[in-house]
Amino acid sequence: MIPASFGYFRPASVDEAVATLSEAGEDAKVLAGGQSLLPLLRLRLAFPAALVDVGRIPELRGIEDRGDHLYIGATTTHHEVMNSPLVKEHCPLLAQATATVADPAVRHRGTFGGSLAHADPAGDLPSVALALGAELVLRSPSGERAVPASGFFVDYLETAMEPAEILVGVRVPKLGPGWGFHYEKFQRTAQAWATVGVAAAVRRSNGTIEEARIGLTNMGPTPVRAAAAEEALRGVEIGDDAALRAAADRADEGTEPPADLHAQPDYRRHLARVLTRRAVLAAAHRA
Amino acid sequence: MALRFEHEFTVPVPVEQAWPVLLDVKRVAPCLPGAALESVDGDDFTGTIKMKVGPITVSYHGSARFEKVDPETRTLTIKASGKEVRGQGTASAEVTARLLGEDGRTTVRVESSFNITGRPAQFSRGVLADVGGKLIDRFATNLAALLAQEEQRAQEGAQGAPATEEGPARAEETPAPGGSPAQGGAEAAARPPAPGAVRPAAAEAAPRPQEEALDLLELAGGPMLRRLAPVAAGVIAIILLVLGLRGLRRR
Repeated sequence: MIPASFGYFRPASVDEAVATLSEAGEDAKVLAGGQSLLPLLRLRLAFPAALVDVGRIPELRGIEDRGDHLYIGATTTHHEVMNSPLVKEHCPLLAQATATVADPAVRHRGTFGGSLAHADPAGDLPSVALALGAELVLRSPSGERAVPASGFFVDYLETAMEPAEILVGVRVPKLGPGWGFHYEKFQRTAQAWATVGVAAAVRRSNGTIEEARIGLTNMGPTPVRAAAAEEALRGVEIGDDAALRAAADRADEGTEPPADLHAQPDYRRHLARVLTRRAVLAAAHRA
Repeated sequence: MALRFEHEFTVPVPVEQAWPVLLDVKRVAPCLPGAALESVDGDDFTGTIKMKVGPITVSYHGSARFEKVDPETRTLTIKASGKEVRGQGTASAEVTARLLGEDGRTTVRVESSFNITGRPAQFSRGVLADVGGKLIDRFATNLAALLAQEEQRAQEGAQGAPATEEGPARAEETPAPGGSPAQGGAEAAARPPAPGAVRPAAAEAAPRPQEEALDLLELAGGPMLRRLAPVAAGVIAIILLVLGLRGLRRR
Protein backbone atom coordinates (compact mmCIF):
# COMPACT_ATOMS: atom_id res chain seq x y z
CA MET A 1 0.00 0.00 0.00
CA ILE A 2 1.06 3.59 -0.19
CA PRO A 3 2.39 5.47 2.79
CA ALA A 4 0.24 7.71 4.90
CA SER A 5 0.82 11.34 4.08
CA PHE A 6 3.83 13.14 5.51
CA GLY A 7 5.65 16.43 5.20
CA TYR A 8 8.87 16.42 3.23
CA PHE A 9 11.94 18.57 3.84
CA ARG A 10 15.19 18.53 1.99
CA PRO A 11 17.78 20.58 3.88
CA ALA A 12 20.95 21.66 2.12
CA SER A 13 23.31 21.38 5.07
CA VAL A 14 23.72 19.43 8.25
CA ASP A 15 22.92 22.40 10.43
CA GLU A 16 19.75 23.00 8.49
CA ALA A 17 18.87 19.33 8.78
CA VAL A 18 19.36 19.36 12.52
CA ALA A 19 17.29 22.51 12.87
CA THR A 20 14.51 21.11 10.69
CA LEU A 21 14.48 17.87 12.63
CA SER A 22 14.34 19.66 15.90
CA GLU A 23 11.47 21.87 14.80
CA ALA A 24 9.52 19.06 13.23
CA GLY A 25 9.32 17.30 16.57
CA GLU A 26 9.28 13.72 17.69
CA ASP A 27 7.28 12.40 14.82
CA ALA A 28 9.87 13.35 12.24
CA LYS A 29 12.26 10.83 10.73
CA VAL A 30 15.50 11.24 8.87
CA LEU A 31 15.47 9.85 5.35
CA ALA A 32 18.75 8.74 3.82
CA GLY A 33 18.55 5.91 1.29
CA GLY A 34 15.10 4.94 2.45
CA GLN A 35 15.85 1.23 2.12
CA SER A 36 14.76 0.53 5.66
CA LEU A 37 12.38 3.38 6.29
CA LEU A 38 10.30 3.42 3.13
CA PRO A 39 9.16 -0.20 3.46
CA LEU A 40 7.93 0.69 6.93
CA LEU A 41 5.99 3.57 5.50
CA ARG A 42 4.56 1.48 2.72
CA LEU A 43 3.49 -1.23 5.08
CA ARG A 44 1.94 1.51 7.15
CA LEU A 45 3.89 0.47 10.17
CA ALA A 46 5.41 3.87 10.66
CA PHE A 47 3.65 7.19 10.35
CA PRO A 48 6.23 9.94 10.61
CA ALA A 49 4.67 13.35 10.36
CA ALA A 50 7.69 14.58 8.46
CA LEU A 51 10.65 13.18 6.57
CA VAL A 52 13.89 15.09 6.60
CA ASP A 53 15.75 14.01 3.49
CA VAL A 54 19.49 14.32 4.06
CA GLY A 55 20.40 12.57 0.84
CA ARG A 56 21.66 15.66 -0.94
CA ILE A 57 23.92 17.04 1.74
CA PRO A 58 27.46 16.84 0.40
CA GLU A 59 29.27 16.84 3.70
CA LEU A 60 27.51 13.66 4.77
CA ARG A 61 28.94 11.65 1.96
CA GLY A 62 32.42 10.40 1.27
CA ILE A 63 35.22 8.37 2.75
CA GLU A 64 38.35 9.93 4.19
CA ASP A 65 41.56 8.49 5.46
CA ARG A 66 42.27 10.13 8.78
CA GLY A 67 45.40 8.37 9.87
CA ASP A 68 44.40 5.79 12.42
CA HIS A 69 40.84 5.50 11.19
CA LEU A 70 38.62 5.95 8.20
CA TYR A 71 35.86 8.51 8.38
CA ILE A 72 32.83 7.39 6.45
CA GLY A 73 30.05 9.90 5.86
CA ALA A 74 26.66 8.74 7.00
CA THR A 75 24.98 8.90 3.60
CA THR A 76 27.75 7.05 1.78
CA THR A 77 26.00 4.26 -0.07
CA HIS A 78 26.77 0.59 0.40
CA HIS A 79 27.98 0.48 -3.15
CA GLU A 80 30.47 3.25 -2.47
CA VAL A 81 31.67 1.63 0.73
CA MET A 82 32.24 -1.82 -0.70
CA ASN A 83 34.06 -0.52 -3.75
CA SER A 84 36.17 2.04 -1.98
CA PRO A 85 39.89 1.35 -2.25
CA LEU A 86 40.38 2.83 1.20
CA VAL A 87 37.83 0.52 2.76
CA LYS A 88 39.10 -2.51 0.93
CA GLU A 89 42.59 -1.83 2.10
CA HIS A 90 42.09 -0.72 5.68
CA CYS A 91 38.75 -2.21 6.73
CA PRO A 92 38.19 -5.20 4.47
CA LEU A 93 35.68 -6.65 6.92
CA LEU A 94 33.39 -3.74 6.18
CA ALA A 95 33.79 -4.13 2.43
CA GLN A 96 33.12 -7.84 2.58
CA ALA A 97 30.08 -7.55 4.82
CA THR A 98 28.61 -4.68 2.83
CA ALA A 99 28.84 -6.76 -0.32
CA THR A 100 26.45 -9.26 1.26
CA VAL A 101 23.78 -6.67 1.95
CA ALA A 102 20.60 -7.37 -0.01
CA ASP A 103 21.08 -6.81 -3.73
CA PRO A 104 22.72 -4.25 -6.03
CA ALA A 105 19.60 -2.09 -6.25
CA VAL A 106 19.44 -1.74 -2.51
CA ARG A 107 23.18 -1.24 -2.25
CA HIS A 108 23.08 1.67 -4.65
CA ARG A 109 20.59 3.56 -2.53
CA GLY A 110 21.04 2.25 0.96
CA THR A 111 23.54 4.07 3.14
CA PHE A 112 26.05 3.02 5.76
CA GLY A 113 24.82 5.52 8.31
CA GLY A 114 21.20 4.76 7.58
CA SER A 115 21.79 1.10 8.19
CA LEU A 116 23.45 1.80 11.53
CA ALA A 117 20.87 4.33 12.63
CA HIS A 118 18.08 1.94 11.80
CA ALA A 119 19.75 -0.55 14.12
CA ASP A 120 18.17 -3.73 12.90
CA PRO A 121 20.14 -6.53 14.57
CA ALA A 122 19.57 -8.66 11.48
CA GLY A 123 21.46 -6.11 9.42
CA ASP A 124 25.02 -6.97 8.55
CA LEU A 125 26.58 -3.63 9.27
CA PRO A 126 25.71 -3.05 12.93
CA SER A 127 27.55 -6.20 13.98
CA VAL A 128 30.53 -5.22 11.85
CA ALA A 129 30.59 -1.78 13.42
CA LEU A 130 30.53 -3.47 16.80
CA ALA A 131 33.32 -5.90 15.96
CA LEU A 132 35.53 -3.15 14.59
CA GLY A 133 34.90 -0.83 17.50
CA ALA A 134 33.55 1.94 15.32
CA GLU A 135 32.56 5.31 16.70
CA LEU A 136 29.43 7.10 15.53
CA VAL A 137 29.46 10.86 15.23
CA LEU A 138 26.17 12.52 16.02
CA ARG A 139 25.11 16.11 15.67
CA SER A 140 22.27 17.83 17.47
CA PRO A 141 21.26 21.43 18.07
CA SER A 142 23.56 21.42 21.09
CA GLY A 143 26.63 20.23 19.24
CA GLU A 144 28.47 17.12 18.22
CA ARG A 145 29.24 13.97 20.14
CA ALA A 146 30.72 10.58 19.39
CA VAL A 147 29.22 7.36 20.67
CA PRO A 148 31.10 4.05 20.46
CA ALA A 149 29.24 1.26 18.70
CA SER A 150 29.18 -0.69 21.96
CA GLY A 151 26.91 1.95 23.44
CA PHE A 152 25.02 2.92 20.33
CA PHE A 153 22.70 -0.03 19.80
CA VAL A 154 20.33 0.11 22.69
CA ASP A 155 17.50 -2.15 21.69
CA TYR A 156 15.64 -3.48 18.70
CA LEU A 157 15.48 -0.63 16.17
CA GLU A 158 16.54 1.70 18.95
CA THR A 159 19.76 3.64 19.27
CA ALA A 160 21.35 6.07 21.67
CA MET A 161 20.40 8.93 19.38
CA GLU A 162 18.32 11.74 20.79
CA PRO A 163 15.20 12.85 18.90
CA ALA A 164 16.82 15.82 17.19
CA GLU A 165 20.11 14.12 16.48
CA ILE A 166 21.53 13.15 13.12
CA LEU A 167 24.25 10.64 12.47
CA VAL A 168 26.81 12.51 10.41
CA GLY A 169 29.61 9.99 10.06
CA VAL A 170 31.31 6.90 11.36
CA ARG A 171 34.91 6.53 12.43
CA VAL A 172 36.09 3.05 11.60
CA PRO A 173 39.47 2.22 13.14
CA LYS A 174 42.16 0.64 11.06
CA LEU A 175 43.18 -2.40 12.97
CA GLY A 176 46.56 -2.67 11.40
CA PRO A 177 48.90 -5.52 10.54
CA GLY A 178 48.43 -8.94 12.03
CA TRP A 179 44.66 -8.74 11.72
CA GLY A 180 42.58 -10.91 9.42
CA PHE A 181 38.87 -10.56 8.77
CA HIS A 182 35.93 -12.57 7.56
CA TYR A 183 32.19 -12.13 7.48
CA GLU A 184 30.26 -15.39 7.44
CA LYS A 185 26.58 -15.10 6.70
CA PHE A 186 23.98 -17.82 6.58
CA GLN A 187 20.86 -17.05 4.59
CA ARG A 188 18.28 -19.11 2.85
CA THR A 189 17.98 -17.04 -0.30
CA ALA A 190 20.45 -14.80 -2.02
CA GLN A 191 19.32 -11.39 -0.90
CA ALA A 192 17.70 -12.38 2.36
CA TRP A 193 18.54 -11.14 5.81
CA ALA A 194 21.08 -13.21 7.64
CA THR A 195 19.50 -16.00 9.63
CA VAL A 196 22.69 -15.59 11.63
CA GLY A 197 25.88 -13.78 10.64
CA VAL A 198 29.32 -13.65 12.21
CA ALA A 199 31.79 -10.80 11.74
CA ALA A 200 35.22 -11.96 12.82
CA ALA A 201 38.42 -10.00 13.21
CA VAL A 202 41.36 -12.06 14.36
CA ARG A 203 44.85 -10.97 15.28
CA ARG A 204 47.35 -13.67 14.74
CA SER A 205 50.95 -14.11 15.64
CA ASN A 206 52.66 -17.03 13.96
CA GLY A 207 50.21 -19.85 14.38
CA THR A 208 48.41 -18.54 17.43
CA ILE A 209 45.35 -16.41 17.78
CA GLU A 210 46.28 -13.49 20.00
CA GLU A 211 43.00 -11.67 19.97
CA ALA A 212 39.58 -12.04 18.40
CA ARG A 213 36.64 -9.74 17.94
CA ILE A 214 33.39 -11.37 17.01
CA GLY A 215 30.17 -9.55 16.19
CA LEU A 216 26.97 -11.54 15.86
CA THR A 217 24.16 -10.68 13.50
CA ASN A 218 20.59 -11.59 14.41
CA MET A 219 21.37 -13.18 17.73
CA GLY A 220 19.45 -10.75 19.87
CA PRO A 221 17.58 -7.46 19.91
CA THR A 222 20.85 -5.71 19.12
CA PRO A 223 24.08 -6.84 17.51
CA VAL A 224 26.21 -8.52 20.16
CA ARG A 225 29.81 -9.46 20.70
CA ALA A 226 30.52 -13.11 21.34
CA ALA A 227 32.53 -12.17 24.41
CA ALA A 228 32.94 -15.65 25.83
CA ALA A 229 34.17 -17.02 22.54
CA GLU A 230 36.53 -14.08 22.10
CA GLU A 231 38.08 -14.78 25.45
CA ALA A 232 38.32 -18.50 24.84
CA LEU A 233 40.12 -17.92 21.56
CA ARG A 234 43.07 -16.18 23.09
CA GLY A 235 46.17 -18.27 22.69
CA VAL A 236 44.46 -20.94 20.63
CA GLU A 237 46.61 -22.50 17.95
CA ILE A 238 45.03 -22.27 14.55
CA GLY A 239 45.80 -25.90 13.88
CA ASP A 240 44.22 -27.00 17.17
CA ASP A 241 40.84 -28.02 15.89
CA ALA A 242 39.47 -29.18 19.22
CA ALA A 243 40.36 -25.98 21.02
CA LEU A 244 38.97 -23.88 18.20
CA ARG A 245 35.74 -25.79 18.24
CA ALA A 246 35.47 -25.53 21.99
CA ALA A 247 35.98 -21.79 21.85
CA ALA A 248 33.54 -21.33 18.98
CA ASP A 249 30.96 -23.33 20.88
CA ARG A 250 30.84 -20.49 23.35
CA ALA A 251 29.76 -18.01 20.72
CA ASP A 252 26.12 -18.02 21.73
CA GLU A 253 26.74 -17.51 25.44
CA GLY A 254 24.83 -14.57 26.79
CA THR A 255 22.74 -14.18 23.68
CA GLU A 256 18.97 -14.29 23.30
CA PRO A 257 18.42 -15.35 19.73
CA PRO A 258 14.97 -14.62 18.35
CA ALA A 259 12.46 -17.13 17.12
CA ASP A 260 10.80 -16.33 13.84
CA LEU A 261 9.65 -17.81 10.55
CA HIS A 262 13.20 -18.59 9.55
CA ALA A 263 14.69 -20.17 12.62
CA GLN A 264 14.12 -21.09 16.23
CA PRO A 265 16.53 -20.02 18.95
CA ASP A 266 18.24 -23.39 19.23
CA TYR A 267 18.98 -23.44 15.54
CA ARG A 268 20.35 -19.92 15.70
CA ARG A 269 22.61 -20.94 18.56
CA HIS A 270 23.86 -23.83 16.51
CA LEU A 271 24.46 -21.55 13.56
CA ALA A 272 26.31 -19.04 15.70
CA ARG A 273 28.71 -21.70 16.87
CA VAL A 274 29.34 -23.22 13.49
CA LEU A 275 29.67 -19.89 11.69
CA THR A 276 31.97 -18.51 14.36
CA ARG A 277 34.32 -21.41 13.90
CA ARG A 278 34.32 -20.92 10.15
CA ALA A 279 34.68 -17.18 10.34
CA VAL A 280 37.50 -17.28 12.86
CA LEU A 281 39.40 -19.85 10.87
CA ALA A 282 38.99 -17.91 7.65
CA ALA A 283 39.98 -14.66 9.32
CA ALA A 284 43.00 -16.26 10.96
CA HIS A 285 44.21 -17.58 7.63
CA ARG A 286 43.99 -14.11 6.16
CA ALA A 287 45.92 -12.48 8.95
CA MET B 1 -4.34 -16.27 16.71
CA ALA B 2 -4.96 -16.80 20.39
CA LEU B 3 -2.16 -16.37 22.85
CA ARG B 4 -1.84 -16.70 26.58
CA PHE B 5 0.72 -15.07 28.77
CA GLU B 6 1.59 -14.83 32.39
CA HIS B 7 3.43 -12.03 34.05
CA GLU B 8 4.12 -11.06 37.60
CA PHE B 9 5.27 -7.94 39.37
CA THR B 10 5.52 -6.63 42.89
CA VAL B 11 4.70 -3.27 44.40
CA PRO B 12 6.02 -2.18 47.78
CA VAL B 13 2.63 -1.43 49.26
CA PRO B 14 0.28 -3.56 51.40
CA VAL B 15 -2.35 -5.41 49.43
CA GLU B 16 -5.24 -3.65 51.15
CA GLN B 17 -3.96 -0.43 49.68
CA ALA B 18 -3.07 -1.76 46.26
CA TRP B 19 -6.42 -3.38 45.61
CA PRO B 20 -8.66 -0.31 45.49
CA VAL B 21 -6.14 1.59 43.43
CA LEU B 22 -6.06 -1.13 40.81
CA LEU B 23 -9.79 -0.87 40.45
CA ASP B 24 -9.65 2.85 39.90
CA VAL B 25 -9.15 3.10 36.17
CA LYS B 26 -8.70 6.83 36.23
CA ARG B 27 -5.79 6.57 38.62
CA VAL B 28 -4.18 3.59 37.02
CA ALA B 29 -4.49 4.50 33.33
CA PRO B 30 -1.70 7.11 33.46
CA CYS B 31 0.64 4.39 34.66
CA LEU B 32 0.53 2.87 31.24
CA PRO B 33 2.61 5.04 28.93
CA GLY B 34 0.93 5.90 25.70
CA ALA B 35 -2.51 5.19 27.07
CA ALA B 36 -5.30 7.75 27.08
CA LEU B 37 -8.55 7.12 28.82
CA GLU B 38 -11.51 8.60 27.04
CA SER B 39 -14.46 7.79 29.17
CA VAL B 40 -15.31 5.82 32.25
CA ASP B 41 -18.84 4.68 32.87
CA GLY B 42 -19.02 2.44 35.88
CA ASP B 43 -17.26 -0.75 34.91
CA ASP B 44 -16.95 0.24 31.27
CA PHE B 45 -14.29 2.43 29.84
CA THR B 46 -12.94 3.47 26.50
CA GLY B 47 -9.70 4.91 25.29
CA THR B 48 -6.71 4.66 23.03
CA ILE B 49 -3.13 3.63 23.30
CA LYS B 50 -0.15 4.45 21.19
CA MET B 51 3.01 2.41 21.10
CA LYS B 52 6.35 2.76 19.40
CA VAL B 53 9.03 0.28 18.50
CA GLY B 54 11.72 2.43 16.93
CA PRO B 55 10.09 4.05 13.91
CA ILE B 56 7.11 1.74 14.05
CA THR B 57 4.02 3.08 15.78
CA VAL B 58 0.62 1.56 16.40
CA SER B 59 -2.48 3.01 17.93
CA TYR B 60 -5.47 1.11 19.13
CA HIS B 61 -8.86 2.40 20.03
CA GLY B 62 -11.63 0.51 21.77
CA SER B 63 -13.44 -0.36 24.94
CA ALA B 64 -13.03 -2.54 27.97
CA ARG B 65 -14.93 -3.50 31.07
CA PHE B 66 -14.40 -5.10 34.45
CA GLU B 67 -16.01 -8.46 33.88
CA LYS B 68 -15.41 -9.77 37.33
CA VAL B 69 -14.22 -8.22 40.54
CA ASP B 70 -13.79 -10.41 43.60
CA PRO B 71 -12.68 -8.45 46.66
CA GLU B 72 -12.27 -11.56 48.76
CA THR B 73 -9.67 -13.22 46.57
CA ARG B 74 -8.59 -9.82 45.25
CA THR B 75 -8.97 -10.94 41.70
CA LEU B 76 -10.19 -8.86 38.82
CA THR B 77 -10.88 -9.69 35.20
CA ILE B 78 -10.99 -7.21 32.39
CA LYS B 79 -12.24 -7.90 28.91
CA ALA B 80 -11.19 -5.58 26.16
CA SER B 81 -11.57 -5.27 22.43
CA GLY B 82 -10.54 -2.75 19.90
CA LYS B 83 -9.38 -1.82 16.50
CA GLU B 84 -6.22 -0.33 15.07
CA VAL B 85 -6.65 3.36 14.53
CA ARG B 86 -4.81 3.26 11.26
CA GLY B 87 -5.28 -0.25 10.02
CA GLN B 88 -7.67 -3.12 9.78
CA GLY B 89 -6.30 -5.15 12.62
CA THR B 90 -8.43 -5.94 15.60
CA ALA B 91 -7.65 -7.26 19.00
CA SER B 92 -9.55 -8.70 21.91
CA ALA B 93 -8.16 -9.62 25.25
CA GLU B 94 -9.03 -11.01 28.60
CA VAL B 95 -6.81 -10.11 31.51
CA THR B 96 -7.03 -11.53 35.00
CA ALA B 97 -5.03 -10.00 37.79
CA ARG B 98 -4.61 -11.58 41.18
CA LEU B 99 -3.23 -9.66 44.12
CA LEU B 100 -1.32 -11.43 46.85
CA GLY B 101 -0.07 -9.60 49.89
CA GLU B 102 2.94 -10.50 51.95
CA ASP B 103 4.99 -8.48 54.38
CA GLY B 104 3.53 -5.18 53.35
CA ARG B 105 4.20 -5.86 49.70
CA THR B 106 1.80 -6.89 46.99
CA THR B 107 2.51 -9.33 44.23
CA VAL B 108 0.32 -8.96 41.19
CA ARG B 109 -0.05 -11.98 38.96
CA VAL B 110 -1.40 -11.21 35.55
CA GLU B 111 -2.73 -13.84 33.19
CA SER B 112 -3.76 -12.65 29.81
CA SER B 113 -5.08 -14.21 26.70
CA PHE B 114 -5.76 -12.39 23.55
CA ASN B 115 -6.70 -12.67 19.95
CA ILE B 116 -5.25 -10.64 17.18
CA THR B 117 -6.27 -10.25 13.61
CA GLY B 118 -4.52 -8.42 10.87
CA ARG B 119 -0.83 -7.89 10.45
CA PRO B 120 0.07 -8.32 14.10
CA ALA B 121 -1.01 -11.91 13.91
CA GLN B 122 2.19 -12.66 12.04
CA PHE B 123 4.27 -11.99 15.10
CA SER B 124 5.78 -14.81 16.98
CA ARG B 125 4.85 -15.67 20.51
CA GLY B 126 8.27 -14.71 21.75
CA VAL B 127 7.90 -11.19 20.49
CA LEU B 128 4.51 -10.79 22.08
CA ALA B 129 5.67 -12.11 25.41
CA ASP B 130 8.67 -9.86 25.26
CA VAL B 131 6.67 -6.79 24.46
CA GLY B 132 4.01 -7.65 26.99
CA GLY B 133 6.59 -8.23 29.66
CA LYS B 134 8.17 -4.87 29.09
CA LEU B 135 4.85 -3.18 29.12
CA ILE B 136 3.93 -4.75 32.39
CA ASP B 137 7.30 -3.91 33.89
CA ARG B 138 6.82 -0.31 32.96
CA PHE B 139 3.31 -0.35 34.29
CA ALA B 140 4.47 -1.94 37.52
CA THR B 141 7.13 0.68 38.08
CA ASN B 142 4.69 3.48 37.56
CA LEU B 143 2.06 1.81 39.66
CA ALA B 144 4.51 1.32 42.49
CA ALA B 145 5.38 4.97 42.37
CA LEU B 146 1.74 5.92 42.32
CA LEU B 147 0.96 3.69 45.27
CA ALA B 148 3.91 4.94 47.25
CA GLN B 149 2.84 8.48 46.64
CA GLU B 150 -0.69 7.63 47.71
CA GLU B 151 0.65 6.15 50.88
CA GLN B 152 2.71 9.22 51.57
CA ARG B 153 -0.28 11.42 51.07
CA ALA B 154 -2.36 9.29 53.34
CA GLN B 155 0.25 9.69 56.01
CA GLU B 156 0.42 13.39 55.55
CA GLY B 157 -3.32 13.54 55.79
CA ALA B 158 -3.23 11.59 59.00
CA GLN B 159 -0.72 13.96 60.48
CA GLY B 160 -2.66 16.93 59.23
CA ALA B 161 0.53 18.74 58.40
CA PRO B 162 1.86 19.75 55.03
CA ALA B 163 4.86 17.74 54.03
CA THR B 164 7.41 19.57 52.03
CA GLU B 165 9.47 16.63 51.01
CA GLU B 166 7.71 13.88 49.19
CA GLY B 167 10.33 11.32 49.93
CA PRO B 168 13.11 10.23 47.67
CA ALA B 169 13.18 11.59 44.20
CA ARG B 170 9.62 12.66 43.79
CA ALA B 171 7.17 15.45 43.41
CA GLU B 172 9.15 18.34 42.06
CA GLU B 173 6.33 19.12 39.74
CA THR B 174 3.19 18.12 41.55
CA PRO B 175 1.97 21.42 42.88
CA ALA B 176 -0.32 20.92 45.84
CA PRO B 177 0.88 18.05 47.93
CA GLY B 178 3.39 19.90 49.96
CA GLY B 179 1.07 22.74 50.72
CA SER B 180 -2.37 21.35 51.22
CA PRO B 181 -2.87 19.14 54.20
CA ALA B 182 -5.07 16.09 54.34
CA GLN B 183 -7.74 14.97 51.98
CA GLY B 184 -7.91 17.93 49.64
CA GLY B 185 -4.35 17.57 48.58
CA ALA B 186 -4.59 13.84 48.26
CA GLU B 187 -7.61 14.07 46.01
CA ALA B 188 -6.28 16.72 43.74
CA ALA B 189 -2.83 15.37 43.40
CA ALA B 190 -3.94 11.81 42.95
CA ARG B 191 -5.34 12.29 39.54
CA PRO B 192 -2.39 13.23 37.35
CA PRO B 193 0.08 11.57 39.61
CA ALA B 194 2.63 10.63 37.09
CA PRO B 195 4.42 13.82 36.23
CA GLY B 196 6.29 14.69 39.34
CA ALA B 197 5.38 11.68 41.34
CA VAL B 198 6.90 9.08 39.15
CA ARG B 199 10.26 7.95 40.32
CA PRO B 200 13.32 8.48 38.16
CA ALA B 201 13.17 4.85 37.21
CA ALA B 202 9.86 5.52 35.56
CA ALA B 203 10.84 8.99 34.56
CA GLU B 204 10.44 8.21 30.93
CA ALA B 205 6.72 8.00 31.52
CA ALA B 206 6.76 11.07 33.70
CA PRO B 207 5.77 14.03 31.55
CA ARG B 208 2.23 13.19 30.48
CA PRO B 209 1.97 9.45 30.35
CA GLN B 210 -1.38 9.77 28.72
CA GLU B 211 0.11 11.41 25.72
CA GLU B 212 3.57 9.92 25.70
CA ALA B 213 3.71 7.00 23.37
CA LEU B 214 5.06 3.90 24.94
CA ASP B 215 8.53 3.54 23.58
CA LEU B 216 9.13 -0.05 24.29
CA LEU B 217 12.58 0.06 22.96
CA GLU B 218 13.69 2.24 25.78
CA LEU B 219 13.42 -0.77 27.95
CA ALA B 220 16.24 -3.20 27.71
CA GLY B 221 16.06 -6.09 25.37
CA GLY B 222 13.64 -5.56 22.58
CA PRO B 223 11.52 -8.07 20.82
CA MET B 224 12.74 -9.65 17.71
CA LEU B 225 10.91 -8.44 14.73
CA ARG B 226 12.20 -9.95 11.66
CA ARG B 227 11.98 -7.82 8.67
CA LEU B 228 9.71 -4.97 9.31
CA ALA B 229 6.86 -7.34 8.93
CA PRO B 230 3.58 -5.86 10.01
CA VAL B 231 3.74 -8.07 13.01
CA ALA B 232 5.51 -5.69 15.30
CA ALA B 233 2.90 -3.04 15.30
CA GLY B 234 -0.07 -5.16 15.95
CA VAL B 235 1.56 -7.24 18.58
CA ILE B 236 2.56 -4.34 20.65
CA ALA B 237 -0.81 -2.81 20.37
CA ILE B 238 -2.34 -6.04 21.45
CA ILE B 239 -0.26 -6.21 24.51
CA LEU B 240 -1.50 -2.87 25.56
CA LEU B 241 -5.01 -3.95 25.08
CA VAL B 242 -4.29 -6.91 27.19
CA LEU B 243 -3.70 -4.74 30.14
CA GLY B 244 -7.29 -3.82 29.62
CA LEU B 245 -6.77 -0.27 30.66
CA ARG B 246 -7.39 0.93 27.24
CA GLY B 247 -10.90 1.53 26.23
CA LEU B 248 -11.56 -0.03 22.98
CA ARG B 249 -14.65 1.09 21.26
CA ARG B 250 -16.00 -0.63 18.27
CA ARG B 251 -16.42 1.71 15.39
